[in-house]
Amino acid sequence: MNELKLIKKAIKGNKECLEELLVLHRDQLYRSAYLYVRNREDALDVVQETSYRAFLSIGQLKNEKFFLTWLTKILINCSYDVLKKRKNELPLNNMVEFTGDRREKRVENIDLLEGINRLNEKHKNAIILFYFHDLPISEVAKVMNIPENTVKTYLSRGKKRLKELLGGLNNNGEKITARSI
Amino acid sequence: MERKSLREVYEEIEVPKDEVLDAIRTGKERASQDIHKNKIVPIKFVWSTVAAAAIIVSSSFISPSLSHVMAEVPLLGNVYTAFNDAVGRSLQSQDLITELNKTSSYKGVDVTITNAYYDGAVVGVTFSVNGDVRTDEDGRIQGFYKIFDGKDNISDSKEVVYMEPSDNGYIGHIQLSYPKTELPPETSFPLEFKRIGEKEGSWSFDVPINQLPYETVNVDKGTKNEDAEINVHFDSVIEGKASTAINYSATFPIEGKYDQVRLEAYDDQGREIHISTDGMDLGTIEENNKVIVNGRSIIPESLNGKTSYIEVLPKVVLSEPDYFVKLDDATPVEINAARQDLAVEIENITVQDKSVTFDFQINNGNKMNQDFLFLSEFARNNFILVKESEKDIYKESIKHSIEVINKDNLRFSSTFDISKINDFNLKDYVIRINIGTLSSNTPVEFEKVKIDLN
Repeated sequence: MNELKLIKKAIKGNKECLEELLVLHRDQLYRSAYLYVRNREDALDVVQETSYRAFLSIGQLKNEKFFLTWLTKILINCSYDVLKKRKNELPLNNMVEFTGDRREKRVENIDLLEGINRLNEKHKNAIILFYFHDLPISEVAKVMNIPENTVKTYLSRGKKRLKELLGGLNNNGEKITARSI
Repeated sequence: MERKSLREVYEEIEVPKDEVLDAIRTGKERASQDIHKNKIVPIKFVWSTVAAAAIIVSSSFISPSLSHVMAEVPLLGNVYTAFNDAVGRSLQSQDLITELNKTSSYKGVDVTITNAYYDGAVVGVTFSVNGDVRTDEDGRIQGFYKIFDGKDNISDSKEVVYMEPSDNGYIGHIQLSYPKTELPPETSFPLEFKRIGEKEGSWSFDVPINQLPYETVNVDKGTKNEDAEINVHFDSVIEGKASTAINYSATFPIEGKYDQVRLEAYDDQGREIHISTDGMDLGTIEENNKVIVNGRSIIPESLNGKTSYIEVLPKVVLSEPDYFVKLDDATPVEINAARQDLAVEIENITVQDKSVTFDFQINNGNKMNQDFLFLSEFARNNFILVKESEKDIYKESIKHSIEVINKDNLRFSSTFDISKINDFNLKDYVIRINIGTLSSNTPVEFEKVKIDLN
């Protein structure tokens, strides 16, 4: 069944179709959640909460074309909820540790992720939606409730700031060169 | 910046596929349970999962790679490790687990209770499944079980459990906190599986459990919050071999029937001790316009020799009823939570042909350490125009938009589109304010209570 058909059925209340859709997008759901909350357990919580809210409110989705936009919006809200709770409740450390050889390979990437995480929220959202979710500018504008031109501004400012951040030092105190930026 | 390089970074984020699948399904299960209630669950629900996640992170998921190793095919012997049961693991190392091997068969599927423990107030059971079962895509099977006949007054009496493939069949694990105030030393509890994989049926057991030796510390100390009229009294601490249970009774005014107690515990060095099961409700008594709840919280480790006392800090989330404002009420309308310092004010209401607009302020501009995003979401989702005859039904709200009038003072303006409503009569509509979302994120704090352990 193609995705659009699945979405239509899901909106009509077919839970299996919605589950299939979520599973179809599971990598994206997890990765995006991870970008926000930066640890595996919280990212899984975000996915669970997103799934929960999606099942509760799928009936409210008016146009099947906007399924992903709608889902992404839920995901971002859930991520913020977790971040907020974390701030209020528990000093959760980022328990991300890397074993020896993996560290070598990933240090540059982690810094890029860290850089994205340090961006101003609006710039960060724009970058995640545009680059990682592959949403066109018009859709990013819808998710963020802002005009398209503002999205473009956020993207360019975000990129500029990211370059500045990546010009800094990595975890080992060595100067890193960000690739292809 | 090239899209490609950013995408590469994104795609290198390792996805724990099974766990994500689990998360999706758990979300689905939760939603299907809640749909029946026809009510939006307030955000507080998330809290417990975040807390649970934090405990897992701190206890054994030291790094993503280690947890991956643990998720690999477990041997029967290290079930407690595979299912990340800190209490079971510790008891196993002390050789305090009771082997049982009781089997129940139905439709070609055998379920065997392999062993069990009963430490303080914590009960753990492991079981294996053999026979003709269909697995989920990820190679695991799902089961559904009831304990104590699934009685509604017992928390978590009906649950879904996942079983992992093992060298011969599947293994599973259940941990529960004994759901009664009294902890009988020798007892058994009814456990019935209603579904294994896709097979519905009945695999039922009476699991014998013998409580391991433990010490009881009588406490008899309390702490009060006058404004909220709540008293949290600590009755005793049960020191098990691998777990510690804190028993308390909390007294609420009758309107606080649904208030929730959460405990935080600290050791003699001021370090936080993780609580794995918090605020278990063991029974409620109503008398003299008061509600007394017997509660229990579990620390999944023995504190013997680790700290000479604990300090327990209760935090209570107050339940707040919804408030309603009529469209022709004289403005401003000020609404104050009865037992807590929370307020909202509807400053003015404008009804036009196609829209209803109202300006409002949250908490007199006091952010109470919440970030603005939370408060603006609160403003968007909790001030809703509803038909008075349907004011207790939570359904999709009328289309509306929200504008921030003043970020620093927390003033907002919400506009509801009524152009699609035929014969709109302002007398039929009210603004529903769900202040509970705010209170559930702003627990009332109490004085810490020091409990000597030795």
